[in-house]
Amino acid sequence: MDNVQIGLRAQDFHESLRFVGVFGPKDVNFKRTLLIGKAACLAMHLRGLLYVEGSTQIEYVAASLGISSLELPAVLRELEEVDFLSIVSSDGEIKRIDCRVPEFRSGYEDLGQRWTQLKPTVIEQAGVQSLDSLYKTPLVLSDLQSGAGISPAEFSILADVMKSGQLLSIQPVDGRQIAYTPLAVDGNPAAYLQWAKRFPQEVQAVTDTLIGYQGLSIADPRVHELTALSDAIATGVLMPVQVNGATGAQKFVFAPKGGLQPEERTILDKARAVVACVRYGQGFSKGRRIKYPRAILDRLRTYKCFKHGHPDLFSQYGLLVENLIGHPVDEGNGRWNFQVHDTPENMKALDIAIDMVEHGESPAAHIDLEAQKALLSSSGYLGPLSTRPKLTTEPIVSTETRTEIIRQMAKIARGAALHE
Amino acid sequence: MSKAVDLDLPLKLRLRRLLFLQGYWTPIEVELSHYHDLGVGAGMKRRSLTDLDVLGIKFDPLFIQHRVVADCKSGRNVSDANRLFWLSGVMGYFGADEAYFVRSKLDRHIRAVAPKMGLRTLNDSELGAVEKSTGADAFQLPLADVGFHQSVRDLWGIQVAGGSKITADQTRLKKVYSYLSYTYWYIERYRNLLTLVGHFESIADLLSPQNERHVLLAYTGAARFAHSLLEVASFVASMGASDIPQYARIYLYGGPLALKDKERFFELLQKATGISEPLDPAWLREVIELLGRMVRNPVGAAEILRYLESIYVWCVRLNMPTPPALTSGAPNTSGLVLSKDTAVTFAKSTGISEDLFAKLKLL
Repeated sequence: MDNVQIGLRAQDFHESLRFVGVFGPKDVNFKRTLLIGKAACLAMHLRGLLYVEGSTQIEYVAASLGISSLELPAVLRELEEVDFLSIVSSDGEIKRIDCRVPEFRSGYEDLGQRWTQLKPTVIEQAGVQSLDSLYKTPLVLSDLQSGAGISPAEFSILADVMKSGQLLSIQPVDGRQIAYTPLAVDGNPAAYLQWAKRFPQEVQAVTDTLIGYQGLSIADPRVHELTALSDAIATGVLMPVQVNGATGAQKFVFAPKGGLQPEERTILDKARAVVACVRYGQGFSKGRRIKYPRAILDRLRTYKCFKHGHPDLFSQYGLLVENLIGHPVDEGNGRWNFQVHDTPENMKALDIAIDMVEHGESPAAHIDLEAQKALLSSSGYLGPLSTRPKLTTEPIVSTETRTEIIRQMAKIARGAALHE
Repeated sequence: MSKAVDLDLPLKLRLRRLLFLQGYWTPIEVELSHYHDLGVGAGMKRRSLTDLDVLGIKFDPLFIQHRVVADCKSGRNVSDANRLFWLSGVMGYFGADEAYFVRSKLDRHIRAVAPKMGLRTLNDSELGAVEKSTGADAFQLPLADVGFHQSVRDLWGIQVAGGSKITADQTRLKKVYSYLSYTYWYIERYRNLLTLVGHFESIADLLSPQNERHVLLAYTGAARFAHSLLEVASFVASMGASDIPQYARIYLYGGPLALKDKERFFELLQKATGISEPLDPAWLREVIELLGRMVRNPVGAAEILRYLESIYVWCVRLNMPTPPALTSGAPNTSGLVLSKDTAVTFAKSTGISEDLFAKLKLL
């Protein structure tokens, strides 16, 4: 396993087990993995910050991420070890935390390397390896056990811990116990397992293809070459995102991502909508095509609009209007720009979209918005907010109706609707 | 070893302090040189052209660079008119926005001519009045203290005892001093970051945190590293900053076509040799991460140069435990954090000991 995968899987362990109370097998056998997972989770929230004053804010943030105040010093030490931060202390108290979490490269590589340096137990190694294998494909339980290379008693501990955090599920399929991870399933596990049963050898290739290129057009030759991929689309295991642009409708598929809270799912759906629109611009635009998707996403993240308007933008980014990510702006002469609504959810969705385009995986989907707000606010933790935008189901409508919906929603977004 | 007394030095230092308080990083006595080719295999020879008394450089939060040059003269045997024309040329050479001609006493005709050449003039008493009105005369850093300045200047360069030969290690160090003193101001700006790191890599094994000379050399290197990076940031910002890593590479390799050429060259190199040597040096990715933090924190980035200069004076030389105040306003924490970040990244990139910046790391 490469270090990036180790870092990602360690974060999965922490995030899945954080709501499991004190549990001997977990706390004794997975402490190094959980430590690195907590470090990865906190680092993800510190990314983009230059420093944090004092210790109160970081303690609140850590608590909301499932890192207790007693665990925090150890987590901060690990982040210092990988040089993601340095702590400035005065009289034994944290005065300031200077952050250097990488933005343009994957910090998981450093964290994965650190995990190896900490000499994880054989159960931890087998757990991280098993989770990574299950990400790629469901396995017969006995195969998973033999592949883990540990004793039956150790495997029982591993399975109990992973099941307690819903990292591992076991379902009978045709009389055999099949192990899978809910983290790899977007929707219905039963459909996923049936599909995996039909294509046991191809599941990994499908996952790798989609992680390698998030937002793959279903018109792409790879979809037709990989029968398992076209079957997954046809049977609803993968649910494509449709964009109705200037050259017609196109659908784009993404690597499955499970184990998300409802609000995280909403944000992930927004991110997928963003990536789908950019992919449309890369492959199906009527005019000049997008060459640097990362640059486009960075532009939207920073400036909340495109540098120049374009006639295609109105229809191409209609999906984003429906997802309440922004609204079209008429620049005259048939040119349209797109204005992103500057909300924490939308900014997070853009961060995830950037991760998807750059790294394939989207660990930032687990970003806790409240924790991040606490970091950015001067008064510390503000408490949970109850209102979050809900994703609407995609209607099947004509282009005319769709255009009208977009116009009306744009008016609402501009605040003009009340006066009509 | 002290050098001959420079009668102009008090004026230079006072102007330097004044500019520093206005937000400028202020190297003094910058020597302009020209290098000419001695023929195949014979290397380059440096020829000194002239020296500039005070150079002020600052980047605003939009990463627009502002430059001021100054000529400070106190003696009698000086043709002021000649100096004005000379200063006008230097101003153009350095791309400066403003130039100061500072003289103990100024004749009327000089005051009349200078504005036509786009130059500013100050005599001794006028400089004093400006110092008072800006609070420069009460500034806590001893930037205008001649004795302090001499004590720092005495630490610059290698020391070869009389009658003895320069050692191989001293020769290596001398090349770096020469680069910082002369070549840095001569070569194309985009080449400085890669060249600077290369020079310090070559002496990383020699620099000791216990050696005062080496600490000064390291701080000087870190300041040039920051300056080179701010120039990259300026270019990146001018391109819109939407793709920081790519724009940085375009700048550092001399433009989009030069970048393509170099990428192609490395492809061919790999084909020819089978060795997978990447175009980008390994340290570049961390430097680009730092560049990203600078671009996203422009108010702090604009103060890195002054922080590095003042921390050396305040914390290293004067042994003060707290960060220096750059102005009377609130401290710029982003600037301080980015200064540390710059020094640490410089140390990591070049392989020099981070302990050379031990005082800075405590802040």
